[in-house]
Order: sequence, then structure tokens, then C-alpha cells
Amino acid sequence: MNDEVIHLLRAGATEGIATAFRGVVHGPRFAGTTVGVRLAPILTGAGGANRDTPIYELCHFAAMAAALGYDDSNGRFLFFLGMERVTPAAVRRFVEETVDSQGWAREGHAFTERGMRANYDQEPFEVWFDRAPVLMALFEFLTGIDDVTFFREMDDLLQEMVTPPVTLRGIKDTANRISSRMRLWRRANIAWAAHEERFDKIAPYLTENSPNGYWVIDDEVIFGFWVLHSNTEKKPIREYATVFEAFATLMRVIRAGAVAEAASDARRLGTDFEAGEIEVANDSGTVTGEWESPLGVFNHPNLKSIRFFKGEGERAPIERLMEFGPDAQRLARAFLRLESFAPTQNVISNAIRFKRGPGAISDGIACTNTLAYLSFEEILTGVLDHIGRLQLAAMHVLRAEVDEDAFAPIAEQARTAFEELRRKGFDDDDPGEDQREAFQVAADALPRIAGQLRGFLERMREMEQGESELNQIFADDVALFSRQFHAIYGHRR
Amino acid sequence: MTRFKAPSAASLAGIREEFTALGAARDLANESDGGDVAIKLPMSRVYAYANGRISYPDIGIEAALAGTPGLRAAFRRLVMAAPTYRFERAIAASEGGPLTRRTEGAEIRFSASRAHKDRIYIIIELASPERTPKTMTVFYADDRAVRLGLPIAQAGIIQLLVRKDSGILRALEDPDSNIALM
Amino acid sequence: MTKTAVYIATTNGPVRVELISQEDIARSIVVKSADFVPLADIAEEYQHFVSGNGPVARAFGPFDPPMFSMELSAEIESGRSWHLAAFIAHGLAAENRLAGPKDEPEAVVWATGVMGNNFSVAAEHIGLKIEHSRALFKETTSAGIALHVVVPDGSLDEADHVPLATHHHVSDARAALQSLNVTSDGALSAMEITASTDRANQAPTSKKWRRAWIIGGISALILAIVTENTTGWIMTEMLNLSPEKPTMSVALAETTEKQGIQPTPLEQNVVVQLDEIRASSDTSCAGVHFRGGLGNLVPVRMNGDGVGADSAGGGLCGIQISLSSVELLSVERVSIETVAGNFVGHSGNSFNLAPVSKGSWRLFVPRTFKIPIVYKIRLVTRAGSDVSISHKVMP
Repeated sequence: MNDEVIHLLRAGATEGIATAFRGVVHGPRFAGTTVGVRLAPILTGAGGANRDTPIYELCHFAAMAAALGYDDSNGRFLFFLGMERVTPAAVRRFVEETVDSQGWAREGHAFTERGMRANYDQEPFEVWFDRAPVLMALFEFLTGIDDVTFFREMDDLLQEMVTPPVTLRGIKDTANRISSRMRLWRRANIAWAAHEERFDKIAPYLTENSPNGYWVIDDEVIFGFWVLHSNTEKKPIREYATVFEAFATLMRVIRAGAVAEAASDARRLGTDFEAGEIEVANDSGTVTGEWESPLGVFNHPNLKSIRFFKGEGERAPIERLMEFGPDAQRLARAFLRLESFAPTQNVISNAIRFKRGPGAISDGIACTNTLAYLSFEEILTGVLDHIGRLQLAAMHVLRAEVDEDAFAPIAEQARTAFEELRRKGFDDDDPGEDQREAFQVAADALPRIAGQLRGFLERMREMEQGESELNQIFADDVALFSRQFHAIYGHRR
Repeated sequence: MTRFKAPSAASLAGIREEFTALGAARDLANESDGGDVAIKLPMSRVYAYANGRISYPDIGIEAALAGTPGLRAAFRRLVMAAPTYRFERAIAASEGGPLTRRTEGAEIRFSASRAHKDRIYIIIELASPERTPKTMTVFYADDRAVRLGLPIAQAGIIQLLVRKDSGILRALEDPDSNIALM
Repeated sequence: MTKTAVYIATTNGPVRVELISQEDIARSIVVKSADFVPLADIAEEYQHFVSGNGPVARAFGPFDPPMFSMELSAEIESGRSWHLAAFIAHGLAAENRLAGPKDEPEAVVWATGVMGNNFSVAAEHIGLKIEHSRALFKETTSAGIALHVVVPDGSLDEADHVPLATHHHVSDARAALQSLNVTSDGALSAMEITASTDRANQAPTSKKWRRAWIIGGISALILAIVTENTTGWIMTEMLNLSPEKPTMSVALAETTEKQGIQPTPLEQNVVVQLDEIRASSDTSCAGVHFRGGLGNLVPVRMNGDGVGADSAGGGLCGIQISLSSVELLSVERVSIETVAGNFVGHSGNSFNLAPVSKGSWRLFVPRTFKIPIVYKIRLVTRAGSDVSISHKVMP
């Protein structure tokens, strides 16, 4: 049994879904669009009562394509499958060029600032270009479900839908039929069991370990849950990382539900949780929207061609921090434990799997080589400095587009930062259009990365009163984790 | 630390469902990251193959088509939907050999080679030399397809010499086969 | 039957014409023999070369079926210097003498030359082409196979001649065929063009008469000569009119008398005769067409109304029309009016035969044709007589 299969089994996804998902998301069409993290929850049915909304959006999008003139099977295939690069900008260009050359084929449609709008019986519906990649990816994924047996049916449904007169009722009916099929597909293909089991353990644990009427999620709750469930005989949840992820997910779910409730009954969002309101992170992360890692855009081919980050030293250390965003700040110690002890746990389980000998297992259990919190702090500080230099360098490249007066004080600094970055992509400070656009995208994302880093570093400073405090905290956690690793793996030495 | 109001019994089921879906989504997204892992053929690639942007033959795509009936049916729809010369089933019964096929703007006929008894000419005559196809795809039983690259047309005529026992000819001899010239 | 391999000389090495076949296809094609991949670059040119007013069509056609497939051993670049070799190959193929890849040729022809509409030839880079064909030359001569190098006149100095090869310097593609004579007993041997040219220019022995037939009510004096057509293809044949056996003809004098016109003394001596030209044991129709072969003359039987018996097309090379009078000044004009079909080199409905002073003329029929050639020979004398003879050549 190889690593990949084990990983798949542990994760709970069936191999077929993962390969189909990869096929869509990892191709050149969607490279660097973060479509994967947006598509995955749609496929697995996240979104609560609104889980079918993306399909409804897709149907509207198909109706808009028909209104552009892509109103038969061939047109639809060209629209949804034919673009070689699917980014919001590329879709906008494609659509605008279509309208420029042949106009709208049907009435009642227009461009808006962010997308396209259609009017049905006075009810407008808008699809933003930002949303286009995930809708295109959804279309492409749906064409392949159930061994491609839904392809023809979906095409027939959409064709019927776009045959005039196109009505809102028709669109809703089509969306319902596709959603129906998706529900069947999910039941047959998504492995929910492992997650259901986790929830069924977390929920009562929170109830038992929180003040009456509340659920409290903090560093010790997470650790306590892990200790409790990592060494049970029946279906243990061994990995600390799995536990952390589960609690982070739960927080996200509850926040989303509460936001929806708050939005529906106009409760004010604030920091007084006693009043039943929800704590809102006071940094650049926000609980009101879905947090997405700002590192995703750096996977775009144009950005990849510029060496913004060196893999191991600059990007890897902040990957998880960017993934969890504000939740990492809220659960700073739990997150530090994730960063330091989850890799150690991997080492232990690999040492057992690949029979690397008792020494390797012992060292792991003893946390001999575990990354100290102080070291992590130093690494993050170094990366933050690097981000600062990248921001200055990006501003130097984009200086022509920046307000001269605002830029003047830092112009020299920006130039120096650019010149000192002796790496690929930083050799021409007046690059071509593609590279310039890449720097623009980077310039938009870097502040969010810097904000997260600063926020987390601030949390770390708050955890300690002096420098020794962080070391002591780490030493305490080594003892705790070592004990638990011993409990889980000690007999395997 | 974050404190939430404990969910009611009524909302617990919804939270559970959402938790499960997001957990599975995280697995799916994480699972797909990096490394040499298998991928399934995406439909956009099949579409590119159908319209000639990916050259024929592509071993990977052909293998996928051979192994998946649904994919073959999809491929047929992709090809036959394209603006192309489409020939539906032959109308008349044949006593042997492939039948002449006609569609608006094009005709396909066949002529036995006098010099090579084991070969036959496929002659495609186009009414409009501007619309010159580059491939011929023949769909026959079970949505299987044979594709042939076409030589350059001369004055609206494309001719090629194929073996009488070739796959393309066997497919063309099936009166129920559909032909697409693209 | 001896076979000859034909090679097109190219700057990338010799390319063999492996097969020429008539096919029932929409357009003539050129393919690579190994994989039958059409060679698009020269296909268009080849189509024109073999059909319509192209040299092969004019030389050998029309054809049925009218299209060809030419198979080459390798691809050749676009350009037209393959013309001469292909023309020779077509001539050989017409006589089933073109060696295929499995045949052991008894002769090899290596040729290069762009052909003009008037069958003129020109070529470039001959030195380079020779250089890249050295291996073929060596292989051919080492095997004792006769090697013929056919090039446009003036394009190759004697100093650059290929060792052990017979060189044919031609200014006219038809002369190339003439000089590459295939005999029944063997390999290709060369004939001097001047010899064939001299033969072709021989003046008719106009004092040789043939037995005349009287056409009731019509007098006709027929004189035929194949003339230069509007695109410049010249084919002039002046033949010895010594028939080996009596033939049939029309005496103008008796005809005009029947019209009630008193023939002039000159007209009294004018007699017209019609003969089928057929292949003989030692002369094929190609030999008749290109090498001045006489063929076998078979008289066309005329009836009393000036209508000749139908001639069967199989094995028929052409029709010989003879005017048996030295006093041809009495004839103003002779013309052929085609009601259906065409003689070789004549696509219009009507054409004059000139000059009238020639003794005899030949109209060649296509190697294969589907519809009968129906025509009249019309003679107008200075005295005002206007007579015609009708004849039909069946497919």
C-alpha cells in the first residue's frame, strides 16, 4: 500500500473523484485561479441551504452564453470548454469581444461593472466574471460525472433551457434537475463517514467542556480533544493536524451560519459574545467572507515565472498560516502546535511505516528535532521582511501607475529592493505586459500575506511576557506532546 | 478563543452536514495538490481533441475513449455538434462496399483503385472550397470512432487512397455510421 | 516487353516514377508510393499537366477515365522540373513500358526539364542534380543497364556528361520521346533526332494516285494536315503517299459533273482519299504519333453519298486524308467540321487544313474516347464547288 493510497484513505476521498477533480483543476485552463478550493466545497455539497446555488448560477451563466450567441450545443461547448485560459480577465475579454463583434443575440442582457446581468420578468440576475472560472470548472466537472453518462443529459437539459422563450422558471427547473443529479452523485461518491464521525465526537465534547449554552473553541479544547481521541481503541483520530483542521472547519461553519442568521435578522456583528454576538477578528482576515489563502495566486503561470518565493525557505513556512488565516490567529498556540508537532507526528508514523528503526521513533516521540516556537518566530520574521522587500520591488516595477507624490519618499528604497532581489523575474524593471500584470496581482496579494504574518507574530508576542516565555511555552508543549506520542506510539518502538 | 452560542438541536443537523461537506472538500482540495498523481481526462481536453486542437491520434485520449462508453458518446456529440460537414446514415442499401454519402455542400464517394486491387479511393467533393476540412471522423457501432487526417484539398476535392481492409473503410461500410468532416 | 525506369532528377537526388495509372477519380493526383500520401505541392500542377491543354492531354488524350495517379518513390519539392521525366513516363506507361518498383528495368531514363506550352524544355541546377544522382548512375551502369540522360539542349556541357550514359539534348519534349525509341527486341536505343525530323519533313510524292470513288452529287477534295493549334503545339506530318494497296477516294471531277458543274481541267485531276491509320506489328500508335511511323493504312469505304463507312476506334491511330493532284491551286480551302468528339490537338468545332499544297494530312484519334468522333471534310474550290465528305470514328 503506497503513500498515495494511504493518504487517500485517510482523507476519505475516493480515488475516482480526486483524479477527476485534479483533471479539471490542475490543467492549464485554471492554473493559478484558486478554482480548486472554490470548486471542492460545491462538489461536496457545502453551503447549507444554498448548496445548490452554484448550479443555479451555472444555469444562468449558460443562459447568458446563449444570449451572447452560444445557443446550441456547439456554442455551449465552445463557451464552457473551449477557452484555453479561464481567468476572470480572460472570460471578460472573450465575452466583450463577442459583443463587440456581433452584439447580444438576445435582448434583456447587459454588462455590469463586475459581470453580466440578465433580466427575466423584471427579475435581474447577475454573474460576476470573478465567478466565471469556478462555474466553468463546475460545468466541466459535471460533464464527466458517473463515467460521463450525464454529459448528454445535461447538454439536452441546457439546450431545452436556452430554447426561446427563456424564462426564470425554466432556468430554475433545469437547475433543480441538475442539482438532483448532483445529490445522487454525492451520495454515491463522497466519503462523508469519517467527517460525520468526527463531528459526532466533537459536538458532545464541546457541549461537555464549555459553559452551559455555549461552545468554546480554544487551544486547550483542541489539545484536550486530541489527547482524548488519539489513543482510543476504536477509530482513533490520531493526527493532531486532523483535529486542528476539524475544529477550524467547525468554526468556519458556525460563523457562516451565524452570519447568515445575522444578515437575515440584522443583528449587529461585534465583539460582545455575551450578547450572543460573534467575535470578529480585528485584522485583515474577516469572518464575514470565506477566507482564501492569498498564496494561491502565486500558482498562476505568469507569477510562477517570477521567483517571488523560494520554496522551502520562504513559502513553505507560511503555507499553513495563509491557509487558516484568521483562525490561526484566534488559535495561536494550537496553530504553533500544528506547525511544530504535526510534522513530528508525520516523522514518527513514517518511521513506523518504513521501519526506520527504534532510534528514529524514539527521537520523534521525544520531539528531539521538533521546530521550536522561537525558531518559527524567527522564520516568520524573516519571511515578513522578505514580503516587505517584495512589496517595495513591486511598487518599483509599477511606479508608473502609482501616484508620484505618494511614491517619491520610498522611490529609492523601492529601487534598491528591486535591484537587491537577484532572482528570476527581477532583472528587468520595465517588463512586458504579462510580467507587469503578474506584479500587479502580487502587489494586491502581498499586503494580505503581510497582514496575516504581522497579526500572527503579534499573537505570539502576546503569548509571552519575555523572550524566555516562548521557550517555556514550547518546552511545556514538548512535554505534553511527547507524553501523548508515547501513549500512541510508544509500544511501536 | 472563540465562544459560540451552542447550536440548537434543530440547527445541529445542518451544521453537521456542512461540517462534513467542508471536511470532504478540504480533503479533495488537499488531495489534489502536487506530486505525480493520477489525473482523469478532463472534458476540455476531449473537446480540444474533437475540434483538432490536439492532433490525432493521442494515445492517452484514445485509451480513455476505448475504455469509457460514456466518454465515447460524449466525444461523438462534441464532434457532431461542431460546424462541419455532417453525414448521417446512408440512405440506400448497398450490395457491397461503402455507399456514396451526400450532405449539403459535400459528397463522399468511393472508387476502386485500378492500380492497387487492395485499395480504394475516398473522394470528397466540396461545393465550397473555402470550408476545407482537415479530418474525417467516422462514428460507428457503440459510439466507436475512426479518424483520418485529410490531405489538402485541391479545387474543393480531397482524395486519399486507403486499404480496403482498413479501419476507416470498415467504418464507412456501415450504413449506420455518421461521418463528420472538420 | 522491355521496361524502362524513369527518374526525375532533383537537387535532393533522383526520384523514381514508379507507377502511372488511369483512375476513376475526380482529379489527378501525385502520391508517394510507400504510403500513398498525396503530394499536395505538385498536385495542382500535375492536374494541369495531364488534362485540358496540358502536354500529356494534348499528346495522348483525351482519356477515359480522364484522371491519373502518379506514384513517386519520394517527395519532390514544388517546382516544375519534373515535367520532362513525367512526360516520358506517361509515354512509356501508355505502352505499358514503364518499369514499376518490382520490375527489372532494361533501361533507365534520368531526365529534368520544365515544359512550356509548346513542348519546349528548360532546366536549372543540372550539375547539382547530376551530382546527387551519382549513386544511381553507378548502380545502373554497373548492372549493365542502359542509362539515358535527357536534358534540355544547351543545359549540359559535354565535359559534364555522365560516364557511360547516352545523352539526349532536346529542345522539344516530343523529340525526347522520339529519341528514346523502344524496339521489340530490347533495350532503349537512341535515334538521332535529325533522322526522325528529316523523315517527318519528307515531301509527299504527290504523283502517286489512289483509285478514286465517285460520290454522287458531291465532289470532294480532301486535304488534311495537322496544324499548329491555338496554343502553339505544332505537329506537322508530311508523309510518303505510296500506299501499299488501293484505297478509296473521291474524284472531284466526277462529283462536280454530277452537280452540273463542268470541272475545270485542274479539277479533273483532283482525287480525295480517306484511310484508317492503324498500328502495325512494328509501329504502335505512339510510334505513329511521335516517331513518324506510317502504321498500317486501311482504306475507308465510301458510299455514293459521300459518307464513309464508320471506323472502329480500337487500334485506330488516326485518319489519313490525301489529295491526289499536283495542281492544288484549284483548291481554295479545306476544312474539318467536327459535329461530335475531337481529334487530338483540336478542340474546336471547325478548323482549316493548311496549307492546301501539302499532299496528305493526318488527324490523330485519342487513345481512348467515349463519344464517337463525327466530322465532315469540306472542300471549297476556286471555281466555287463546295463539297463535303462525312465520316465517323466509333469508340
